[in-house]
Amino acid sequence: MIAALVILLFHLVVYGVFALNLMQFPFDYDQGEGFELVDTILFSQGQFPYRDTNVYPFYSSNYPPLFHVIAAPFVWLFGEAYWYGRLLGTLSAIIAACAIGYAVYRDGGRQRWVAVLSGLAFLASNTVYHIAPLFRQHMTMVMFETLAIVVLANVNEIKDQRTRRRVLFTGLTFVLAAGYTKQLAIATAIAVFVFLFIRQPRRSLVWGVGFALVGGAIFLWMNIATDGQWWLQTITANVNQFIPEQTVGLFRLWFSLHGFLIVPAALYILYELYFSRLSIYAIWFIAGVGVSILSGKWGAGDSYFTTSIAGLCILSGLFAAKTMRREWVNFPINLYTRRIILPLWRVANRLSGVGVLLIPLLYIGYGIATLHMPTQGAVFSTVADVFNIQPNVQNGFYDSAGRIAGGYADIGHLTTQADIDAGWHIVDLVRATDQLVLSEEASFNLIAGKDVITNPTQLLNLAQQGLFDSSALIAMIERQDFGLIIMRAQFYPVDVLQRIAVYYEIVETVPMNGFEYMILAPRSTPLPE
Amino acid sequence: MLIGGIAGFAAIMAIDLFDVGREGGIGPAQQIALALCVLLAFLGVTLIPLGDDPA
Repeated sequence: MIAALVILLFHLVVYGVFALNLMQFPFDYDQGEGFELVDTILFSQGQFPYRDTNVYPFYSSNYPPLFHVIAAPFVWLFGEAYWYGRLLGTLSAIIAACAIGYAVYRDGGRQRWVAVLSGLAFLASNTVYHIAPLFRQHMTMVMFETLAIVVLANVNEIKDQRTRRRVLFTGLTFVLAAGYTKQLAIATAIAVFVFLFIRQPRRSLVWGVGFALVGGAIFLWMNIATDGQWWLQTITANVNQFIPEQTVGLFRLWFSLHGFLIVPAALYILYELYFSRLSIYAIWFIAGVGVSILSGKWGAGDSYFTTSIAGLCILSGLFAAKTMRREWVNFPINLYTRRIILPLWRVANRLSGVGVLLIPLLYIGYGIATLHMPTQGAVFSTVADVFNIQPNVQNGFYDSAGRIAGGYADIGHLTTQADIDAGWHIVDLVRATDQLVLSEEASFNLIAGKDVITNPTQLLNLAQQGLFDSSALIAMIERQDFGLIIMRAQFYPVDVLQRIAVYYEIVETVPMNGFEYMILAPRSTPLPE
Repeated sequence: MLIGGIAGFAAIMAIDLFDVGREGGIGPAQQIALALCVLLAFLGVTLIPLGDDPA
């Protein structure tokens, strides 16, 4: 157990180092973080970020508001910065991990070690590690989801009506908060109401109607307040092309990284299905896995597995706790007990002894399977040398995921002083022009005090469905209204990229965070059509 | 679960029956969904012998 704890605590240290490193980095680290900051700034000014993208500045958000609303007071206090959004994401993951540990402790017979390992296992996941410390809303959604599930897990067993209602209200408020943080929380909402329905149909219907009324009223209010842009930008624009190979690749990766805990989690679900009662954790995990299929959407990725990872940490923890308590002996008598369990009865004691030894090994195996760490720096280089860990991605970082699956975020490595210097160099270029600057990332314009123009991925989302009229933006490109264009991933719609290629040329390439930032200036003579 | 699995299977197959404009037959995403429906139905069948006794 101590070895498992040491490995997972090492993961926690790496997580803390990465989070602190990112909080000191003043630019976009993951593409799109800057637009989350722009949304936060707009909310801090009392404005909605759901806007008509056909007119200047061609900007809109495609995410619900709660994360940005929570972050908005930081804008009032500290101005425009990335650190507080990254702090919120980091803390969200830690709160979710604590909730996972608490659930395992409460419902797993107060097994302290297993509870701690379950919470740490969540933070050790490669996906959680590189998603949580970003200025992004995903981890805050997972935090609300996890809190909702943990609060509601035993609600039907509460005898006192007032207490039960209070717990139901709290849990469903968390579900609503998750949904208004990110749309993907639909999986948790479905899981919660399926669970409530199979235990107490009437209660689930009554509370379901109330939940739908409140959620629907907020939705309707925002849609009216934004003249329909809320629906267009957050719902319609999110129906993207589906790439099945990406989903299959990410599922394989998910299993290869988390398999040590997925197997016991799956066994625990089978136990509940055939010999006990389906818990909210099992239904939530299945819903989480189901929604992970959407990871094959264009623009989606491994973050879509985070809910399922939280679920599998709880279920595997409950499996481990039951094993540690040697409780795999009280099966109700039914067909499968007679056919499968009773024949094993003679070896049950020996199996339970093996199980107690097996649990720490599962967590050790998981800790090794999910290993990710810098291989440079005082302590990390020593660890890397001792265990012969070679860097396999940018900035001397090792990631067991290998970053080969499409949709797996190409992040997690630490930023360096050279990266910060490169960012300031780009800001200097932006400041040097009197004209507008079109940038695929918002940070350079925000720091230079210029308008943030476009949210490129959102324009592409809309363009792929014929919902973006690019004529005004293209007219500005053709008039060479932009003194500079900064691109990293070329996420703009194809027709926009084509016009940029005709009217602008690359004058400099700036390496930052392992990516090449292309700096384009107006051509003296546009390319012939 | 049995009914859900069968209904899901039928619904996925119906996409090809009714959406005649589609080409390429049953795609990879549909194959995955069909396999999940078969699994769901199988689990449903295996639960029938247990009856409705509360655990």
